[in-house]
Amino acid sequence: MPQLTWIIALIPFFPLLGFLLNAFLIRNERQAGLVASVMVALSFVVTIASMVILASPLTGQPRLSVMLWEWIRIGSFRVSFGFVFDQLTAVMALLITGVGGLIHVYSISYMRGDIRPVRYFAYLNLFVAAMLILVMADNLLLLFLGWEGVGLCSFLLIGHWFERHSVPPGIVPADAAVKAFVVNRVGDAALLLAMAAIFSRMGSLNFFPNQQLGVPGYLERAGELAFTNLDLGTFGAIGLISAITFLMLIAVTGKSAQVPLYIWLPDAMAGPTPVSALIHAATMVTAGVYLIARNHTLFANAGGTSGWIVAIGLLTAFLAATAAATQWDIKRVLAFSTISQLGYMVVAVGLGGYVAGMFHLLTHGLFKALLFLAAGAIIHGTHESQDMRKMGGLKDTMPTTFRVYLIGALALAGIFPLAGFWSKDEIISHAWFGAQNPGAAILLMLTSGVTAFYVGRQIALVFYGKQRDNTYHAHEPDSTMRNPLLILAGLTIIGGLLNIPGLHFLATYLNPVLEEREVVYDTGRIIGQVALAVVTLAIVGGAGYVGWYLYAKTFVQRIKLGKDDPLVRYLGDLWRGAEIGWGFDWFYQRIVIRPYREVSLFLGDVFDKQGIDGMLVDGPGRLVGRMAQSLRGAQSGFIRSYALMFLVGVVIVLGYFVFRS
Amino acid sequence: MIPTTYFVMLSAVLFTIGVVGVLIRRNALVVFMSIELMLNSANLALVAFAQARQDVGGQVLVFFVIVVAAAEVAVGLALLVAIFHTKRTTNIDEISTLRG
Amino acid sequence: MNSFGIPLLSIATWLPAIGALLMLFVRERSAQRLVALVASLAALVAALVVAVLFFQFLYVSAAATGPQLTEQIGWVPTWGLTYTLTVDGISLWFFVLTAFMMPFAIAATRAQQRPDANYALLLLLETGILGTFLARDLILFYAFFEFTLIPTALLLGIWGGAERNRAATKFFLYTFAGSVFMLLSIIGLYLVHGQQTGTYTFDYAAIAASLNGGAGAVLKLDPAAERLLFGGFFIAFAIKIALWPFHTWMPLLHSQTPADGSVDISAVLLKVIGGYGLIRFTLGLFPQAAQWAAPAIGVLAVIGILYGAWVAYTQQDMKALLAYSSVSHLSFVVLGIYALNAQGISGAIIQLVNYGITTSALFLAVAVLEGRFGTRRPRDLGGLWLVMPAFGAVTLTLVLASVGLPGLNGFIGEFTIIQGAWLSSALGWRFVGVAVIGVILAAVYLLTMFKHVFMGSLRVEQSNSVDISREQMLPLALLLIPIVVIGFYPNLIFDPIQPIVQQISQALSLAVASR
Repeated sequence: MPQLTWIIALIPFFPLLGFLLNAFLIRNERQAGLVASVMVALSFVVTIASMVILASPLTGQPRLSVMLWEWIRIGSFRVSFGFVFDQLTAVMALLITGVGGLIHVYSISYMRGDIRPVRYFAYLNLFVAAMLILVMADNLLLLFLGWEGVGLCSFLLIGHWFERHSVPPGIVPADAAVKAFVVNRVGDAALLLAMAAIFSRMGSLNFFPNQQLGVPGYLERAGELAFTNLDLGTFGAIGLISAITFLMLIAVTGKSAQVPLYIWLPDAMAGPTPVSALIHAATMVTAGVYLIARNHTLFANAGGTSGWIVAIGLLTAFLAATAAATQWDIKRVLAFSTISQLGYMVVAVGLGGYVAGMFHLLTHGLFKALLFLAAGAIIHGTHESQDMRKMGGLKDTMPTTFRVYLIGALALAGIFPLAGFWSKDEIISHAWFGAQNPGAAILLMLTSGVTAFYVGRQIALVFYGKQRDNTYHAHEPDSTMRNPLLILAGLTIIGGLLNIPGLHFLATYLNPVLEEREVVYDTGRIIGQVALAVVTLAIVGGAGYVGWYLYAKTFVQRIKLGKDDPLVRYLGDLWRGAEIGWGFDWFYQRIVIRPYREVSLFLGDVFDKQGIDGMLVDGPGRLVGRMAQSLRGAQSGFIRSYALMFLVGVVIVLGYFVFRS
Repeated sequence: MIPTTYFVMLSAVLFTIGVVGVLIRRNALVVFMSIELMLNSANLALVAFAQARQDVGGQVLVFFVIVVAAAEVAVGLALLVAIFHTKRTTNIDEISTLRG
Repeated sequence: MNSFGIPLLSIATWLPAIGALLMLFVRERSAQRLVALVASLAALVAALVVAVLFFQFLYVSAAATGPQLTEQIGWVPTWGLTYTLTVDGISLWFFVLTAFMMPFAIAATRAQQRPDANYALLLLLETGILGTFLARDLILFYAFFEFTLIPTALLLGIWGGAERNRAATKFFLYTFAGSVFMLLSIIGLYLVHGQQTGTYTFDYAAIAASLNGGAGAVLKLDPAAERLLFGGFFIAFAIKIALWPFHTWMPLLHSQTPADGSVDISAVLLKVIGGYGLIRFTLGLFPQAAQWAAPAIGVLAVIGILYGAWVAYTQQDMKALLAYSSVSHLSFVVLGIYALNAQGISGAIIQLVNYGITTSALFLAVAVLEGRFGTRRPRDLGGLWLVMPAFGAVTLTLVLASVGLPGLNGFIGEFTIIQGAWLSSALGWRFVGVAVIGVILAAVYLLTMFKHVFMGSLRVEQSNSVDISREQMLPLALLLIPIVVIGFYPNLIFDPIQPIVQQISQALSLAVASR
């Protein structure tokens, strides 16, 4: 068995091969989709096999690892290009290849007739490969390769229709693509600094010790960093580990779309819907949560940063939920919803609930992918409308889609016994009992209420009432699109079993990696947890019903394309603020982008051309020119003035000699 | 004997007249004549000192100066004639093409 | 002499010049092109043989400073001048880079008038640049260094754009002024060395050996003198590498170069000379002064990183954009050099090589655009990826390499420099903290440029928009190979340079100790 550990390298290899085939060889749309899906399926199979090997007692090691080659070698600075496969990796890889595979199959039908389907599948495969490299990397630098790799694929796929001037609801794909990459880059820069800091103290970027390279692993030595400080001069000193974790937090904020760097995700909806499902719901955005989970030994030692993580997570969860409640575009609701749910995960890991965070990561991956894919079916079925004001009454014309969407939506709201209920409950319970932070728990419960509200609103707007736009004839998706939906719906229903309180399969499985304290279920805890769950369910049920009722019954006549939401009358500016994502985009546009542009123009045209070049470089040149000009006056061509100068010169020289002696 | 001082003073006066002539006069021929005057004033001083010191070297030097003066006049007048052919003027203020 | 007894270094250096000479005799246009290409490719072959020999020695006999291949002939013995060409860890990759890139420049050039003169000048330039990297005698180095100015100025002045005279003059005078200071330093060093040791020599190895040894050195410079000498060399190379604020000759030059990109590639190599000079001379000869000056230079470098990227954002001329981009990238290199440790210097060397390849490729891509559409303004173009899918993909890869995407060459240099600067005793995390912002800004201006040209709606006439020909694609595709390979296997570059880089960084840390 140990001799087979190398097969883990096949997991990212297959999708990479798929990318190369699709990028250079394949020209046919059908072949492209087939090859891409098969590659991901193969990856999935190898993942399962690797999990079996990992679990097998014959292996004897806590993790499977293979080093492909030595990436960088400068004296003692050594970085490997190697993979590691432990339980945390396994769980992520399952999600990536499993849900990814379903989305690939779905895409075969969804992207039929697209202008460049082969390139789409190439990028999709490349994305899966990069994401797998991210979760399988045995060191931070290789993780970073995957990290930026998924950022690149995000750029490529959001900008898949780069030639279009705008897509609903008015986004320019090319701009959205650049925005995604640049905003992510801010986080990436922070991660670069964190890596430099870690290496400077630990002498290694490897997570675990690597004998071949002769480098230690830094994760188990996190405690060593605890007493090192960075001197910030007038700002005092900051613990190195706090600095590192804070920098990582910034990176997570970018990749996992937290406040204040989430702005790229709503615009990312400009890409094809399966892309939104895969990248912006199930996988890439979860990379941040994975980063924290992987580095939990660092975060456990950095008390100060935890406060920030929780604050950012809570803020993001709540604000994004309110924003989701005000959107008209079906995908934008889901985008803000993703941001909000990521906030839940971030809060969980911030409070040390790594298992809870991973649990929600998995369930969310399932039901959010389901929702996005179902939304894609709706978009296709309603002839490319995305504005919910143009929908309505689809539960009768698209019954299967309605049912799967409902399952996903109820899971999102956190209705018992769907997956989302269990994972959210886990987080809230951990916040209240595990981390002793009732404030966070209450805020999360309120956010769940808002979540349920917008879920109800969306269900009502899309499926209930009468079809408001009659330009299309709604139809169900074909089987290639429908089957993945059904599978995901099934998984959403049973997903809660992964980590049911009491059985806690996931926790047990992840324990070797995450080393979390076991939950002790004494009577107090059981009663408390049930009480919390009941209260949350009540809030959620109530809010959900209100949301549904308002838009299926009360306001149903007042929903018209071009008109505002009826609640604007009561909530006014509050509603409008939420609708524009609480002004972050506006802020960046006015305070960051425009001044940046102005300064750039100033530096280029004025400071550089006239200042540095004009004064410092041309200046001496002009000075010499002017001196020459003035000296030229003496060469008048006037013989008499020459003669005078002779005379004066002679007198001076003779006089010097005469008076010297 | 006439004191050497008088000779030297006369030489100085003549030299000054020559210098002034070079600086002020515009006609090239007059400038040449002034230059000759300067040279001859130098000759006068040389002869006076040769007499005063009873050293014939001064008189030898006078011959050198006369020869140089003659050569210089020859070349200068030739140049002047050439310039006159082109510019049709002997006004040195108008011969300023060699300016900076 | 190397093990075969053949003066490979001299052959590689002078072959292009011989090719230039042959131009006098070749009349027919296509024959001229052939001769030029053959000459430069022959030089490349010689360079590759040298590289292979170097690797052989590296793994067979590891001398303390790493293997060297040297050729030496006496020149003017009474003055201590020798004709010495040496290749060691530091010059190896720059030497190979030049031999590799100049054929691209020659293949790219499209001079309508006097093509023979054009080829000849490019070949002479190649000789000059190769000689600069190999020369080990200070005056010989100076001679080659100055020599490169003449063909460049002529290439610019004869075949350049509308303001070519101004660009050529500014380039020539600015760079020349800098090297005058270097000449003063060379002469000063010669005199000081002679006074203290009795041997008057211009030989670099001899002088370096005399300066070596910390407290027990044969030649001891007092701090003020050392700093002055350091300054002379530094100014020359700072101007050459377009370090802020000595960069303003660059945007003007690149906006006036001929549209085919040949002179741009040559100019790129000239800047690499600047980086080489900083390592070889300012670090190699004056470690204490380098320690003293490092923080200030680090500040200039950090400013350059941000400034270049910031100004590049609103440039309307793609070549000017690449020029400012160069300022930003090369400032990163300078940051790496003055980190004064093995990672920083190694990162700087590999980044110079990367810069040479990636930026040259980008200039070639812009040349394709200008040749096809007659414009270098991104705003005039748009949506080109629609009709030129292969070209778009290649350009995107080049852009990403410049941005520093992991997996491509730029990232390796970037990260090693960041790591080196963080660990540096002279610089430290504060410098790095500001410098990484450059990483963000680079994505901003490069991707925005890509977006304006290749994404969005198609603005130019459809008839002109066929994907690029095989002939135009070939050089770009060839250049992509090292870009990807170095990204995944940079040890190819790092291994040969380690011995000498370690030696330099040890000397630098000794310098701190002995202060």
